[in-house]
Amino acid sequence: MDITFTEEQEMLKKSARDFLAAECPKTRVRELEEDEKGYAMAGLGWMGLAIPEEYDGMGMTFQALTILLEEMGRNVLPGPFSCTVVQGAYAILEAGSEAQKKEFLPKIANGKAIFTTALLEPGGVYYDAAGISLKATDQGDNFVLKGTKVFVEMANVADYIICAARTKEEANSEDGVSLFIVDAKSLGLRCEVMPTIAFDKLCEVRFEDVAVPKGNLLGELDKGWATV
Amino acid sequence: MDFKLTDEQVKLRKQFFDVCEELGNQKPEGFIGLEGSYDTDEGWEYHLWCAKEFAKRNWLTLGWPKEYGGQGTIMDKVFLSEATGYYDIPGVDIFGVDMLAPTLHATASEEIKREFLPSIASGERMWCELWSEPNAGSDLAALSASAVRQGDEYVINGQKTWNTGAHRAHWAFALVRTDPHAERKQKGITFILFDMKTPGITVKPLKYMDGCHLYNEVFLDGVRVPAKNIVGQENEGWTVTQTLANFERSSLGAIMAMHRQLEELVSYCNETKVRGEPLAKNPLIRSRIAQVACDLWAAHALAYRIAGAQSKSEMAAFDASAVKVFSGELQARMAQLGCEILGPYGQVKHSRWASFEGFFEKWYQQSFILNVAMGTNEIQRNIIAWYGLGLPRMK
Repeated sequence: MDITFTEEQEMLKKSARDFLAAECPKTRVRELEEDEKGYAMAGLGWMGLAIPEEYDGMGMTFQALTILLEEMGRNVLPGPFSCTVVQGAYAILEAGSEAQKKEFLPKIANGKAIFTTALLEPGGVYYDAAGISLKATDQGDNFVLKGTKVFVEMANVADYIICAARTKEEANSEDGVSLFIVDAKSLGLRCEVMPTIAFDKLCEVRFEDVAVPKGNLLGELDKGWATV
Repeated sequence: MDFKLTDEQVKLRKQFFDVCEELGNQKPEGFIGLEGSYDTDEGWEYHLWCAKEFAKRNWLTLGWPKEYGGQGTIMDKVFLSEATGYYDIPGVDIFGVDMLAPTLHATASEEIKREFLPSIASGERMWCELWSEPNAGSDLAALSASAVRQGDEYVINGQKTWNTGAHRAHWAFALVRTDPHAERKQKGITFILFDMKTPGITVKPLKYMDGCHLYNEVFLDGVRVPAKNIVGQENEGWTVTQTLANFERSSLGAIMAMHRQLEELVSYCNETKVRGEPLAKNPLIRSRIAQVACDLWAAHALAYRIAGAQSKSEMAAFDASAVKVFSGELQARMAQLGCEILGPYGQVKHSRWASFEGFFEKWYQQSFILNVAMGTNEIQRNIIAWYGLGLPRMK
């Protein structure tokens, strides 16, 4: 096993550290707690690091991404980098259709789309499939989503929310869960920031009959839990 | 050793609990602990109102000598603090009632007692403590705020810090240096009282990590205080502070607050179902709660032993250090356990999403200060090692 960094990785580490030290000192971190716009911008320039080049990314490895995340952590950089890249981009890379990859990954790589994931619901205390009861109903061209999600990271600044919804009632609760890429500006979607100990912009997101085009189903119908 | 209460004590204790439960009905939403009294206007109003309610029943003078309007014993005061702790009721000013009044009884001149005790007894005047300085906290005797005698006044200059409630309090008791040339740093300090509205006093907030306004910095610039306002002798203020060691220090208020929290956690675990089973059936949760309960009852026994010994003036100085360390650290463990059991909701502040009005999140953040304030736990352990175990004294 070799856990030393390559020259390229050392360079990445150094440039990330220098950049963050210059652009995001501790005083700035504090300001960002109150500054929603600035918060949404944080880390945008790095979004494409681990996205393949064919989707406008830099095509670096997951290991490179962890080096970057380590430096961001070192600097306590707030913002939607992790939920966009680690939750959003990787879910699309893993489960998305070619059309979805072509549509969303370049947006993420170019810093033009913030993603987050909506899993937990008010009743469920655990991160398990049984807690997913937000309903998605097939209505022709769309699925219609109805229910409430809580602790959705940075939904207040997100452009897209990957939402885990129940599409079928099965004895095994892991069956019948599907993932949808929901445009955060959709009609019927309400978002409110929950006050938390770390002021980290965890949100309640209510889906009041939100129509999601069928093309935005992420992965196979009823088989979304494996991706979660 | 006998923890059994007399019939009269049982009756009085129940009366304290009944009244506190009733006062609790008027409590502002989200009010919690010490910061509840000082952070918001409505919390402060509630604190003053509870003080009047206690004063009306002569409960702010428990354990005082009769000639100053006192009634009851120091044990009665312990019972009251159990009740206020359990229901989290303010009104007993920790600075005026708990600290200053006993200090005055022990050390002040008759004139000072007659001037300052009545407004403590009536709950009208609230106090703050101006002791710590930027370079004198755990090493309090290193304080340097100076008081220079000019005619009938002292002129005070310096900076104080970590002053709980100084932005609300009416009066302050301060430690100032009156003799900068004394051979030992404990000498040359004077204990003095003044009105917080005296010209030259500037109070600036030191927001706690949860954003609440409880602590302050206080700047004293040419503050003129009547020379007669000193407690004890000039330059002997350190001796005055040492009498505090003999006051009620059982921590029973904090311990009863934990009993309440434990009860709430237990009922939450009984009522909350996950996958069809109550949390109370989760072996990990049961075991963690049981451990906290064991510790809590141990703390309770220790506190009662201290209170009992104190009422007979028998306590050794390190006993109070032991209960402070043990109950303070237990509070931190319990608050953390509460947050963990609440799961993701444990991190939510008072809002429509929070369980128990966000109490556990607040207690969790407040628990850090419990182990720093009034002598850090490191200092307390040094005291235990030195006084209690006969280990060499550390400078």
